[in-house]
Amino acid sequence: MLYALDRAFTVCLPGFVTIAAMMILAAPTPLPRALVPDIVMMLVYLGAAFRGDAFPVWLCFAVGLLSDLLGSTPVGLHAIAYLIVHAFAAIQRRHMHLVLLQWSGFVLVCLAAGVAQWLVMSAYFAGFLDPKPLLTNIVITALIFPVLSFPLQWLIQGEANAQQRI
Amino acid sequence: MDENPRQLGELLDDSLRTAARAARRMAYVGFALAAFSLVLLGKIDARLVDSVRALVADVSAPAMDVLSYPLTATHDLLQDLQGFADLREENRRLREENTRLAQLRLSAHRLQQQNESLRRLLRFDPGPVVREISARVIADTGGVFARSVMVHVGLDHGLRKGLPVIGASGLVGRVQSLGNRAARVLLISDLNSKIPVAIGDGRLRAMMSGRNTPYPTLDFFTANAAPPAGALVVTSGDGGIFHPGLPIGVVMAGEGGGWQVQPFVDWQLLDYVRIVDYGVMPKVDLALGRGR
Repeated sequence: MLYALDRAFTVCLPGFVTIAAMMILAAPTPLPRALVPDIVMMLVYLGAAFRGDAFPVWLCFAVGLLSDLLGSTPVGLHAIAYLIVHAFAAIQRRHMHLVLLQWSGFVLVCLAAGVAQWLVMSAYFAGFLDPKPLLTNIVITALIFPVLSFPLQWLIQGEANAQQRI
Repeated sequence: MDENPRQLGELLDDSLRTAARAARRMAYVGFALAAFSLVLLGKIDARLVDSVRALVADVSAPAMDVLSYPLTATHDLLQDLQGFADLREENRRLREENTRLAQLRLSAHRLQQQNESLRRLLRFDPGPVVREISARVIADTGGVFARSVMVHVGLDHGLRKGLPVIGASGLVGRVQSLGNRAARVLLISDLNSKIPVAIGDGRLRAMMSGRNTPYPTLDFFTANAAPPAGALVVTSGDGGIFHPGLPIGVVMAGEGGGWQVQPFVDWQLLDYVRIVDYGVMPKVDLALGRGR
C-alpha cells in the first residue's frame, strides 16, 4: 500500500511541480515579465529528459494549455512551444548527462520555441511583433538555466530520491 | 532450432519499438495540430475561450491568492528596508506635502461649497451613483506577449465586463473576463487594448493602443496638429467603452518619431486597484449581447 502510494507520488511529482511553479510564478512581482525566467519551460525540458515516464506528451500539452488559460495569450501558444521543447529533450535524452550539452540543447530549443511563439503571435495579430521582450526573456532563461538545472532535476526525480532514502 | 524463436523474439521487439516510436511521433503531430487549431478557434470565437478562462480563473483564484502572499510580503519587506535608509528625507518630504495638502484641502472645501450652491441653483441632476470596488491583484497573468492581471473579485461582487479599472493615480485597464470570484483585467499596455482618448483641452482626439511595452502609443489623431508633449491624456468616452475624463497619463515623444503616453500608473506597484461602475452598461457588452 505504502509502495503504491510512493509510486503514485513519484509519477505525479513532475506534473505537480510544474503546475505549482506556474502558479507561483504568476504571483505579482515588481519585475517586468520579460525579466522573469521561464522556469516552466525548464521543467518541461528536464521532465521530458529525465522523467519521460512521468512527463508524457499529453501532460506537456495540458501544461501549455493551462499556461495560456491562466494567462492572456491565445490558447495553444504555449502548448506549441512546450511540445517543441518536449520533443527535442525526448530525442536527445541520452546526451543529457553532459552538463554542457544539456545547457546548449536548452539554449537551442528555447530559441526554436521562441521563434515558433513569435511567428504564431505575429500571424495572430497580423503584423510583426517587437521581438525584444521575447529575446530578453530567452537570454535570461538561458543564463539562469545552469543555476536552476540541478535543483529542478532533484525536485522532479522523486523515484531516484526515494531509492536513495531506502 | 533454438535460434529461430530468438530471432523471432528480436524481430517482434524491433517491430514493437518501431511501432512505439511511430506512435510517439504521431502523438507530437496530433497535439501540435490540436494546439494550432485551438489558436485558430480562439481567434474565431473569443467568447468561448473567455468563458473557459473565467472558469479556470475561478478555480485557480484561491490558490493564486494564497501563493501571491509570500512574494507580496517579501516585496513589501524589501521596500520597508529600503525605506528605513532614507527615513529622514522621507519625513521631510511628507511634512512639506502635508503643508501643501492642508492648503489644498481649504481651497477644495471652498470649491465644494461653491459647487453645491451652483448645483442647487441650476437644479443639477447628478446622474447615477458611482460605485467603486477595491480589489487586490492576486496574479500577474501577462507574459512576454500579453499584459493582464487577475483580481480576486468577480460576478459575485457585482462586476461587469468592460468596467474601467483604476490604480492609485490613473487608468490601469478594463475588466476582460469574469468568473464568479475572480476577474481578469486587460491592461492599457496590452496589444489588444485600444482606447479612444482626448488630449490636452479635449479638442484633439486620438486612439491609444497598447504595444506590450509600458508606454502605449497614440495614433489616428482627429486633427493634423501634433500633440503637445506633457499634455494630459484622458479617456474621451467615444464608443461608450469608458466614462469620459478618466486620467491616463501624459503625452511624450516616442522612440520612432511617433507619440506615446507615459501612464500615471506605476506598473511595479500594482498591488491594489479600484473597479469603477458608473452605472452605464458599456456599448461593447450590448453589442455582444451578453453581460459576461
